[in-house]
Amino acid sequence: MIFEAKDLKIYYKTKRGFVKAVDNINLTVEKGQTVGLVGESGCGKSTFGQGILRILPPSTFYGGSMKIENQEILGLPENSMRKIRGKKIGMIFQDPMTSLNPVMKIEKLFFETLKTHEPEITEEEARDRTAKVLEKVGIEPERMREYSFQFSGGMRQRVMIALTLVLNPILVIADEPTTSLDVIVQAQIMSLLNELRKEYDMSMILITHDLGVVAEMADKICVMYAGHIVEEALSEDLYYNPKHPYTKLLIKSIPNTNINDLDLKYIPGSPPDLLKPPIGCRFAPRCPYKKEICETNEPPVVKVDNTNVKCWLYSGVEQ
Amino acid sequence: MRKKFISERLGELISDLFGTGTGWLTFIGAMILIFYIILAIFSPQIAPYDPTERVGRSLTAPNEEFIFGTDNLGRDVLSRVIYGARIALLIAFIAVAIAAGVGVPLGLISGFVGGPLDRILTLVMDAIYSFPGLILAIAIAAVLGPGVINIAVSIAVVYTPTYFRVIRNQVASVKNELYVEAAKALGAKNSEILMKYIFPNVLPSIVVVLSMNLADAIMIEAGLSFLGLGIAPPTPDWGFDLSNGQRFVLSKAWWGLLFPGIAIITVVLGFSMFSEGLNELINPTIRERR
Repeated sequence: MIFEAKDLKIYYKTKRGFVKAVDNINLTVEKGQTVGLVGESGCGKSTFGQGILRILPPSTFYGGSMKIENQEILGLPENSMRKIRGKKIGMIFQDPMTSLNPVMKIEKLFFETLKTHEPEITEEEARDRTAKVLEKVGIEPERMREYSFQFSGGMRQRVMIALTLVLNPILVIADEPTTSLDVIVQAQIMSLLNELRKEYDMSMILITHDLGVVAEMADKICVMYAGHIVEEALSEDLYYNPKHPYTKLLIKSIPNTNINDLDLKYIPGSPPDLLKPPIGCRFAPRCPYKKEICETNEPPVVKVDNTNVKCWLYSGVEQ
Repeated sequence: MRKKFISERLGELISDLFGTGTGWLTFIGAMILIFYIILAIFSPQIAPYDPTERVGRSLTAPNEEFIFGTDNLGRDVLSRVIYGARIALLIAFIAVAIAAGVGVPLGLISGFVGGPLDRILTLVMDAIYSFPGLILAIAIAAVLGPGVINIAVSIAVVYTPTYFRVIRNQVASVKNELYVEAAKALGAKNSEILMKYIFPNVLPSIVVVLSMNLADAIMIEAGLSFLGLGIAPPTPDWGFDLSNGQRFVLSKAWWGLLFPGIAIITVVLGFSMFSEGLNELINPTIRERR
């Protein structure tokens, strides 16, 4: 096991109270596995991604436990945490247009990053390694003498991926890595990520709201809703046999090209206010299968077939 | 919005008058500046007489021997104007160096750290900022007494908040940029993030402030010595000569007042034109405004 989160809580402190962006999440990532994290905007998936690296505002509250290679991350002092960032857990951000320092040449960016973790590295050595990794992501090594603004969006995301890979992390968090790119570049970047993940033998947490992308790439998918993981299943199971009502509606709402069925489907209502989430099931206010108990008690996580689902509909199955 | 420098308004006015001639503006400004800098560096070689010695009769009108005439003590006005460039530029550069040297690091730290420290520093700087520049400089100069460094310090105090504000606000916005977050995610230390990712990205915003600040520093310096709070008397100084010359205007000795005055005006004009031109070159949105 590479990564494990147990009863993980990440709350933002605000003047009106705690925003429970991530609440009691359990998630494990095995070696070489790609775990997809899906959910709509504001469900806490990006918070979770950045929370793993502990780069959220200092006032953020963390609870539960989070382990990378059996080393507890929560409570680790800042300077030990810095050694984990980049070196053990890398992160690829959503917007490649702004994620590279505009006043540094690419080679300098790589040199500075390498130097942070290997202080005795020489410039030539750094350049060698930069050239190698740039080649891997499909950029001519000569271009390392250019600035990031001289690259297109897709190219910049490649640079960002290379910058993450050069430190050889064991886990990469890709936070919507293709959201701001066009469809063709999206596909290129995704397949590149997949190839490199295999080649470097990394694990990956892929955060996205695009079920299609995640179904293709991930071994396991976790569906997040309002700070909870409501369903955890293998990709195929989730896609062909969704259990949680939210997942079902989510899959139904994927646009298709069937000419007889052009209506855009959506889930009525909006996600709850995470300052005061519903007492029972957080999806209850929008759920078409709502029962009485859903509004008063938080549902347990039950195992149905190979799927873990957090819903009252299935709790009777076991009893 | 920060308080505008007097020289900044002057520069905008000139650039409005000249229209799109930004290149010329910068060029002429730069020429004037180079002229005065050469004057300051080589004043012993250029000046015809010793500026502190009696070389002729009192209040001689401009003639072939004394092109700008002599003052009430028989000193050559031309030599005093040439040597005056030294003091004016020296004090301006020292003052700006101190103001930037204090304001920029404080702004960096305040913007980056935030929280109570930021609030306290901003409060202090705003308090300084709320005083009219010359009056604050007069008060500080009166306490510190005359001397090059003291004058420079009193001018620096007036302008430190300008640097602080510009840098602090820039840092506060740049620190939320994704590349700063990305650097954090790659394990960079706070000091590295501040010096390598944030500082180079906020630096361009103070270039123009620097050059405009120089012009205003020269004006304040002249104002201080005009009021007798500047450099000790025998040293040639435009502001002091201005107030000295002014006493004899009624005796029809206009040259003692006119030439130091022209020197102050042209050097400030030069800085204004240069910095406004620079501003427009660096910041294309201003050019579009017209």
